Amino acid sequence: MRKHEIELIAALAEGRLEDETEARALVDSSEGHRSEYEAQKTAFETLHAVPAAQLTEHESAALRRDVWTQLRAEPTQAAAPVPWYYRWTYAAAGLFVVIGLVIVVDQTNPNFAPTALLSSDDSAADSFSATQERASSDDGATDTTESVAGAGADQETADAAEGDVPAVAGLTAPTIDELTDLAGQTRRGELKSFTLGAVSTDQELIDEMTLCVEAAGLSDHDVVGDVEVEHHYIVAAPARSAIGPETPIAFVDADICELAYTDQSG
Amino acid sequence: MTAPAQDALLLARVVEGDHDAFNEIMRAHESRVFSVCLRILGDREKALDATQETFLAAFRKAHQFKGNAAVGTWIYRIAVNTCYDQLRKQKRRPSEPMPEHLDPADQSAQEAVEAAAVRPELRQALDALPPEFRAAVVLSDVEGMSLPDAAETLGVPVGTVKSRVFRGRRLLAKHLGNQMTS
Repeated sequence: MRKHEIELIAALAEGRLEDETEARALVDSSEGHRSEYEAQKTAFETLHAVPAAQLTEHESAALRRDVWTQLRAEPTQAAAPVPWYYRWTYAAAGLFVVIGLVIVVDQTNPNFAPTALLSSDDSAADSFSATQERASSDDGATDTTESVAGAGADQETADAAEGDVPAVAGLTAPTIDELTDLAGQTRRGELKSFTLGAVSTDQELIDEMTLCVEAAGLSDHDVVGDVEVEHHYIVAAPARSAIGPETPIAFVDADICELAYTDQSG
Repeated sequence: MTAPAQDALLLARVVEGDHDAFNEIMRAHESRVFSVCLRILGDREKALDATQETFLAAFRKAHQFKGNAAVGTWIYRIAVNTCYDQLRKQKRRPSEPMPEHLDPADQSAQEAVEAAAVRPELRQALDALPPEFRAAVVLSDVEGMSLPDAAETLGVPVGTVKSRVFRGRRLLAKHLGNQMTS
């Protein structure tokens, strides 16, 4: 049976047609069309008669109370222990930013004494002082360029350090750890999907996930699986390339079709 | 002001920390969220849990709402996905169906349960549908959503929803027919 025929039969079953002549003729044309019409009509009328479900006042009040109880309890959960290396990475990134700022300020104000801001036993301050000494002993114009380039390099280092900590909002450190682990499994071809393959190979489900990944702005990605870590995430990797140790693996929140996290490389 | 526009303003206030605004959003959408979840999950207690999860997720993700769809559609989408998650968990950890949970203090509960009850053979037929088909027929035929609205809620093209609704109805009629003959 063709798609437009089924649509016509369904419209007849729902009573949506002003002129039913064509649809009636189609239904009478074969036993298959007749049984399709009967099925559509039976199911539509049965479902249409299902009464609307309502929350009682008590349930409604309990719902709001429970939602707020849980939301108010969340700051405690959010304070879950953060791995030590995260704190150090943030500290290192912060230090690089401060040094970068000091250098930039120094370029614009020759009278500025950056070492006064940094303690003398600070290794970063020492290396900065060394840079200053080298700069002051050489030709100004050239040095300015070198110094700016140095500042850029420092900033790049800072960026790289920040890059180690994925830019994620609303994910707890344990969730990130788990997603990182799952990204590793994906690269090694060891990912066991939560739904795809295990429960369903429904092409429509795969299409649905693909649309969700596209909605998350990853139209150049393929769905490679799905996982559940607190939430349901679709796992996606760049299309048209084999997944290897350096492949970035994206996790899209399946509830809202938003990119939740990208693991850059193993 | 239209309801969707008002919802969008309320959600913006939620992001700014206005809890009353979120209460208003819950009041406006809780019944339909619950109804959708009840028809998909088939169990009042699970539907209440899913409704709660839906609003928790909506609150947590309020700042991510981009306004591409109506707030209601966005919330129903979260609800359907929450129900899918529950069904998946159920499949992994099958459990005995829970009895209808009634709070003795809630005298209207029995009435509400009875008013919302569906024939057992219809419940069984709905349960037999794949979750994606079940959600499509619930939104379209039980909740009376238009196909474009159902498509937006499910996050799939209209053609896909049509296909799921028609195929879902066919399967449902088959199950109902089988139950009647057996």
